Amino acid sequence: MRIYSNQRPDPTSAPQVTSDLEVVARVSSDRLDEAPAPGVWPQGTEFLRIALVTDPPASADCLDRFEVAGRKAVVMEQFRDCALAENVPLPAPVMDDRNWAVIKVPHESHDNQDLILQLQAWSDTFVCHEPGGPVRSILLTMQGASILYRPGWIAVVADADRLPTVTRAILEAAYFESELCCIESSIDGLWNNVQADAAAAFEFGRRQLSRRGELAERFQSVFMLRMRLARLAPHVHVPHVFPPTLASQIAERLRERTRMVDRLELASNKLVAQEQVYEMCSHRVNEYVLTRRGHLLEWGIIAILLAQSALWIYELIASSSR
Amino acid sequence: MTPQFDSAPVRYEAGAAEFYDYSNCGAGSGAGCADDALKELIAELGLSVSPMGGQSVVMGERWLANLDDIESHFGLRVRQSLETFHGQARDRLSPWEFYCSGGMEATPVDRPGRSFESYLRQSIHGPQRKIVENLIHSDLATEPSATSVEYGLQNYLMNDPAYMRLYAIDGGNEQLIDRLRDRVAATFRLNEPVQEILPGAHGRFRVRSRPDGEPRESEYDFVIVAVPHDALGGIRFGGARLSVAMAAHRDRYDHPAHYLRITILFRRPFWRGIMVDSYCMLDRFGGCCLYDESSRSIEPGWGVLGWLLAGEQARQSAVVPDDVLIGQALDSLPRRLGNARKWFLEGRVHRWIGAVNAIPGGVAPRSLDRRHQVDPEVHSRLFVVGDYLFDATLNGVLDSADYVSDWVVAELH
Repeated sequence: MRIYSNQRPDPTSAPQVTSDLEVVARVSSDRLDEAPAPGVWPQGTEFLRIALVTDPPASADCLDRFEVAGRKAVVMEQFRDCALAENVPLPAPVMDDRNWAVIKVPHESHDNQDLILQLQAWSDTFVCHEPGGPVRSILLTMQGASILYRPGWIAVVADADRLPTVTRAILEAAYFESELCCIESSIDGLWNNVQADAAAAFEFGRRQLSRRGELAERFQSVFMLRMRLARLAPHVHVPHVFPPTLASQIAERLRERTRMVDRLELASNKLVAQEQVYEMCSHRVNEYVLTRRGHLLEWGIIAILLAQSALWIYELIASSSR
Repeated sequence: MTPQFDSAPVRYEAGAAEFYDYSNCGAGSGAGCADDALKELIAELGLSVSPMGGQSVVMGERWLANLDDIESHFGLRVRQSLETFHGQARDRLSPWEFYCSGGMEATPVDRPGRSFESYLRQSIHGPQRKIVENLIHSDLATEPSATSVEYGLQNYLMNDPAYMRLYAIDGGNEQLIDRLRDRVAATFRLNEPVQEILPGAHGRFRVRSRPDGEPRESEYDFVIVAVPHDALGGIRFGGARLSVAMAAHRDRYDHPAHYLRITILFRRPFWRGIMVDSYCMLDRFGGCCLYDESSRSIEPGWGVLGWLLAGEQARQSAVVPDDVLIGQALDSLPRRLGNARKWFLEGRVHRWIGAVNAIPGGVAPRSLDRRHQVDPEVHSRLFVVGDYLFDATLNGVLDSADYVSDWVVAELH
């Protein structure tokens, strides 16, 4: 936990949160040189590192906590605007599924174009161009609020009284987007295995028997991804809410801008291909194992019959020699 | 329909601002997804479309874009009351029933003859009622007291994306007419106003028109009168029986509703960043719709705003000179949008008085056959087509035209 106001933080003491989601807050890189000048930040600007966890750490280890998407949002780091003058390293995006650098900028004036442009230019200097990820941060504008979004990094510019609602809404939407990102990268990470295992989908022999456990594990991991995707789907295929709420508008915009519906369908199609390979593998493995057991049984029966025949012949010879 | 300003090569919509998209209507209801003949036709004609949307109501200087805004300006009770009103409206008219309204499968929403005003009075009070009235006034094109509960609820529920969405044709809605004209192999006699339709021998009709001031008479086997309701009065129908039948037809659907469009060209879209949707509703002019016309065009730099005045306010404003109306429109913008006069370039006004219908389909809807034939016994080859026979929309015109064209084709074969 860190809260920065005037004192310069020690960048080596990274806050660590470990939960069942394996959330690790990383040290933010020093990017103050590209950031808007301290004078540009309106009074009351806050920089937060927020982690979404199912099992929150002890209250002493976090600054604040609130509910988002059925999980606990835990504020791990907090920078206040007065820290800017002290050249405190500001939060950069973290390539972590459940961890966001959040900048909350209270701005009463509706003419915030320059500030937004500066923030966007600043966020675009971060190197996090993941394949499929947005090259630029996405700007969501609605009446009274502007949101800059990229994976792991969120900036909210809104009226002070709206900031908590908008932040909560964008975090919730960002959580589902990051869950989809996570599933997508997991699926893509499986392709090499799938390609290697494709042969076993057609033919399975004695030599591959040692790989049975490994194939079962991969089958299970694909199945788990399917379950995650199924659980995520209701949060992506959400009917439009009317009358709308601020949260529903933000979620709809983010889903639309990050093309979540299309991506979900694409991920599902990829999973179908992977499932087919492992389903066929499981068929081949089971067929092989069952056939092998059948053969063993048959050989056992043959052996018993042979023994019985030998005994019978022996008895026949013995009785005829008498 | 899509004229151009004099000061700049920028087009704007003078008439219908948008099309209704029913293609998602009824999805998830178990009744299947709806067919949207107009959207399919537009796609078949190779025209690209852009979705339109807007959920904000501006009251004074208060921008109400969602329930949170309403709660922060008016309190939790108003928010809850609006949610209850919406729930009740949904209970009365499901998305599938909304889609079927105007047709044969339509189920009555309320008792015939009851006004939407009395429904509102019973269901909603205080500022929440004002919000609802501002939200729907420009769609109704009339006052709640002059329309039915069904039509009022339709116009309220059409804001819910579960019922309907909006779209516009990229490059202007007029392209639909142009493409249709290019596609259809027929003789078009444009700018030839029809003056009189007379019954002729053997069930035929004589049509008298006046192209370029010269009278012309032609005889036809079938006549389809496809004009807005207010234009029916401009055609004389000969023969005692036909003229009486047509007068009765006009009276049955005589529930005029009005529009007036003020469109202003600006040097730059100074409202961008604040007004982010395609349109919003203003409480000015008795409740009008403010369109960001430049949100649907690709011309860079210029900005175009359109005010759609409706109902009684539109009728009263019709006699006001253009420059006064343009000045009023400029003054009506919320202050937070910026100084409109600073960027003003040119303004246009288009009046559509009595051009739409306050109770489309009539107070007591008739069968579709009867709607489209004014005198089926004697003049069975004279048909009428119009939006006022269905739901006062372009989709309704197409449904009406489709119904009659199928009928005529069946008669011919």
